Amino acid sequence: MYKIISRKEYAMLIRDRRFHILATIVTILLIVSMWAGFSAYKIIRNETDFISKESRSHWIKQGSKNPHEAAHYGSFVFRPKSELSFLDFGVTSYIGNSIYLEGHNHNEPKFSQAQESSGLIRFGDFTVAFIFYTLLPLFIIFMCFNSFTIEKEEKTLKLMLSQGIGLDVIAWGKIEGFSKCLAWVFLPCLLISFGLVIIGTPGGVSFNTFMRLFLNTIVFGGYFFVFICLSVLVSIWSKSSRNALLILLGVWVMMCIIIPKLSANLGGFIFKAPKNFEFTESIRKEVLEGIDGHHSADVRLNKLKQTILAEYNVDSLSQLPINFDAIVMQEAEKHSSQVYKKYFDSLEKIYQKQNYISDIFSLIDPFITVRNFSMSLAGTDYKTALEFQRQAEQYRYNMVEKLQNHMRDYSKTGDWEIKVNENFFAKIPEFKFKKFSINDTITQNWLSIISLFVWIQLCIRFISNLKNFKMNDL
Amino acid sequence: MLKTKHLTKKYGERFALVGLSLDIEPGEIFALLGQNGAGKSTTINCFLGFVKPTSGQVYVNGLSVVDHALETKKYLAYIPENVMLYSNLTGVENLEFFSALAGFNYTKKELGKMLFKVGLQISANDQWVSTYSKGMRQKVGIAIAIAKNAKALLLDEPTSGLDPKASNEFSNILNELAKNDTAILMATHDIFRAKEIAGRIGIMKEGSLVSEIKSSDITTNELEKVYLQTV
Amino acid sequence: MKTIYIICKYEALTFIRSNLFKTGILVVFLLGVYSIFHGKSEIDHQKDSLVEIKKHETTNMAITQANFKNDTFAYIIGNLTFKLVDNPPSSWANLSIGQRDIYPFYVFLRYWSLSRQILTTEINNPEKLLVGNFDLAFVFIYVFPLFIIAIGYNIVSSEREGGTLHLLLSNPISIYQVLFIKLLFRWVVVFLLAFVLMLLALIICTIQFDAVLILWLLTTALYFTFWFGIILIIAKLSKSSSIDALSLVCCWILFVLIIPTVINLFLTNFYPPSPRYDISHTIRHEYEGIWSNFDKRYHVAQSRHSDNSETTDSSKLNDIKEISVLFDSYDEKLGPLFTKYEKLTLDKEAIGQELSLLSSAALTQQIYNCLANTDAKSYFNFLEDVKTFHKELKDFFFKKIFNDQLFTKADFAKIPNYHFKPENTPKHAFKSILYLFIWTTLVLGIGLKMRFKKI
Repeated sequence: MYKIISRKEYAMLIRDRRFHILATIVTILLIVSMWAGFSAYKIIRNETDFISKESRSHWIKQGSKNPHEAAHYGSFVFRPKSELSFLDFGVTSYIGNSIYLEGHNHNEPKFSQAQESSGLIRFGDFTVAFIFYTLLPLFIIFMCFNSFTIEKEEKTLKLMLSQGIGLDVIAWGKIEGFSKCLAWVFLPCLLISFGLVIIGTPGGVSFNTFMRLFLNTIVFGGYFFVFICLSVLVSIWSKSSRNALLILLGVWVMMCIIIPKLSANLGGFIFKAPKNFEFTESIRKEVLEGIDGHHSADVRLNKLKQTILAEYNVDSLSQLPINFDAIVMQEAEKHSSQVYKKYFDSLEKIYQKQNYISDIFSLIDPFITVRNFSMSLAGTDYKTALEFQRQAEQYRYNMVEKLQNHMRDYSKTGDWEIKVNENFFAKIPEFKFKKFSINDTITQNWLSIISLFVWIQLCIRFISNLKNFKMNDL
Repeated sequence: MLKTKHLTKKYGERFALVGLSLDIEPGEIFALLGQNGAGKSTTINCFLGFVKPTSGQVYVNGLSVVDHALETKKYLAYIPENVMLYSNLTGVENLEFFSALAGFNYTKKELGKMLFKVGLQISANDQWVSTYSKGMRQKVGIAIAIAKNAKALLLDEPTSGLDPKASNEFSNILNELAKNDTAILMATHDIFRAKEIAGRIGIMKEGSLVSEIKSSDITTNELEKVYLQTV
Repeated sequence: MKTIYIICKYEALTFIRSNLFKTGILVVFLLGVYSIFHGKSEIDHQKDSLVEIKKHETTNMAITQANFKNDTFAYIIGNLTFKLVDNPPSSWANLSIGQRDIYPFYVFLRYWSLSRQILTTEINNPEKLLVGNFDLAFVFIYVFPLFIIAIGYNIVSSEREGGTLHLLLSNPISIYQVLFIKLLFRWVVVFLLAFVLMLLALIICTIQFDAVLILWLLTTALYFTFWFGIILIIAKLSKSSSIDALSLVCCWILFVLIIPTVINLFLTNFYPPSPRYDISHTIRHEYEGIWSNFDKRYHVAQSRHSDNSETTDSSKLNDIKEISVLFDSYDEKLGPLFTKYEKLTLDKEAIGQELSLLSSAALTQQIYNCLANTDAKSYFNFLEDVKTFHKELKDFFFKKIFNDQLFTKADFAKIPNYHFKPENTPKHAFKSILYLFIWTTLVLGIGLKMRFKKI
């Protein structure tokens, strides 16, 4: 039975001038955002690739020098653009694009896009995802707000109900009709973006990327379904088209504009992050004083000296077959890395708590759910950026360790003339960012998945319950 | 008082009024009969200035409506077919608002009196209009027209939705107004009431006045016959 | 005059009895109050940070001074001297945080190489940066237009649909007068609400009354008037109230969401963010060039575990002189690269500013940030201040080092201190205000000129 209604709704809507206008506008916006996003992606990707190579060759061709000096010289890593990043820029605009990896120091990512943009960046990024999760719900509202009210106003609903059709059947029919219309906007866009992903990925699209795109489709599909159901339900419950529209617009403003901003700011308001200066000072102090504050550098040094001397069974440093300076430096490196990690992790914990507040809001606001999930799938979320930073720090540590160990093993204490050359530098592998697997992404977003699932369930439940709706209630 | 000269109104290709000429003197009640779409409401809208004539003139109290849009409205009171009021104001407040716009400052007591006169139950005076029935709103509409002390009254199916008693009371009010030299133009479907209160009766068809009858010259039955023959 | 009074009186009565209006005004008010506290908390965080660093600077200097016994080499004190160069938030920053959460707002500066010290970053939660700050400027730019739309979308269409329009117009009043008075009344209501929030903000954030307040109010009034102009135009198109609401929300999306973000996208495409490898590489490469000579010597010295106190032999002094000269030329070499990127960003900012004239919302944001000194320009002015002060500090120590003067106790008082000089009038706001004024006049002019399509 509902097939008839769905066909009628679809036929009516697809001929509706309102649909034509809105669909044209949305499609134009989507094409613009895709084209511009993709071309920016290509430019940045090419530049990053080029610079990564240049940086690597600078590293290898730095000339033969003392290993510790090479550690000082250091290398750079550049945040790679993920293949799907042109669909959703996520938080990447606000995170530095490169990290300088050197001995002794733990550098923050530098040169974020936001720092070199005009204030306009705060209005947000015009991406496919932005159109999907902000504008398409509005498009849905515009199409569906009077789906039932108009039938009530023209009394056709009573006519239909008097034919013995349940309200839920009518509602499902309408939802299917609307969904089909929406698919005309949504699916071509997905196809194009899939094409762009293929073009934009040299060396072929991986299974991981494909799964991400596929999941993206499902998530957005679910999101649109929720909005269609919501619009239809409000239309059923409202007295007039005008009321339905007002309520839905209010819901949209709250869900897509106010709550996301409010929740993120509330998180920052409740869980205060340490100040930058406080953060760096604590690290500096603790590196100087030792982890628990009792072992100053001198005490540690003496202890280390005794241990090493005992180990090699000699009385003085000059008798050691290895370079004690390198051991000291490596110990210091290890120590400072631990301190840094400790503070960095505690800072991250605070940020995570802040973000957790907005995650909780995602239970009442599917917008947040979908925004977070979409960023995650595009590989432009904060967790991915953080993982990049962690891996870069690990890479830095390994690089420095390798250099210091070489110095330790192949020179004696006080010998600063030892040199390593190009061959040695080439042996230190290039940094390769290991992305999250699709499983990781899904696990990280369990709350989003649950919340979206609950929303869809609620919608289905509410629509199905409409069969108990009394005619008088209309 | 109310006068049109060769009034014509064209909507696209369709004529709503064709060369209509009317002249209603002070103290006279003129009833316009005719089917839906015959041009009765358009005539009234021309007097109010809501509709701009394609050609011809409309005069209220000797002033052209087109040239003196605001001033002519001072002499007019209007009761639409379905009086709609501000739903979250009370009956008294609605009456006060509209009469204040017309330039009258009545006391609460005077306003109450007017509502009583048109037959609104006193208990309803201070209730929100959203709780009113159609008849009650119609009565407030009549009170608004009376409060304006207008020289001419334009009525568009004023008695639709009124019960017979209220309808009768309304007729009395109209007679009283006419005695005080108000010119009244009433568009209606109600042949019986037209015959009873109007001095002259015009029958309209497709935008023109096809016959004009003095009500004292004809019985109700004859009027009905003429009406059916004409339309 | 009397008509205005009557209509306003009954409009007020209707508003007071409308639940939609009451909820709306309450929501906007609460959001406004929250935004004030939020802005204050963010700015207080920065202020506290600056106070803390200042304290650190003072104790640091006190310790150095306390440990000071005999006259010593200037570079020793120079190495221990950190000076705070800050860009403290203006009191208006509480209301419009702007780009302050993105740009560093202080540098803890030593006399040696500026290039090594200037590339600082602020730590912040990127997800929070992404959604932006919930400050009063956000409430004014985003939320108020929505409130204006909510109370004005059906200004005439409700009368038409409610059936009261004809009865109303049978009185000696024209539809233009009705519309105008109703708009005026709503404008006053909205502006009063904004004004109350402003007053609250002034009290809560202890902001002084000054010229900025007038400019801020003027901008707000112009921006609100712009939206009322849009309502005027839509009302005169005489469509149904649903269509009116739809068109107005579309206008809101266009001006507040789409145009600014599309400009931003355009800028990203034409000025793609660069990892700035050339600058990073030069910084390290040149630095190594300097240190390769000295580093080894010190490492050898260190490994001998000779005492940590600074050596006083003349070779060391010569080293210091040499390093100082090298650092100076290092800064000079890097200068053009820094300037290149600064110019790039400023160009981008300038183009963004010019393009902002396409959207009243973007213009308003710009004006607010400019008035509060929280825009990119303010940051780059700050950088200039840093450079100037660094030169002053460097010159002070260099003079002593190269003239072989010892640092005496009396010299502590002569070490230059940085004093922040607030900009008095943000002149570059005037152009944006002019643009906004043109927008508002244009929209209002069109709205007033238009005739009703139907009554």
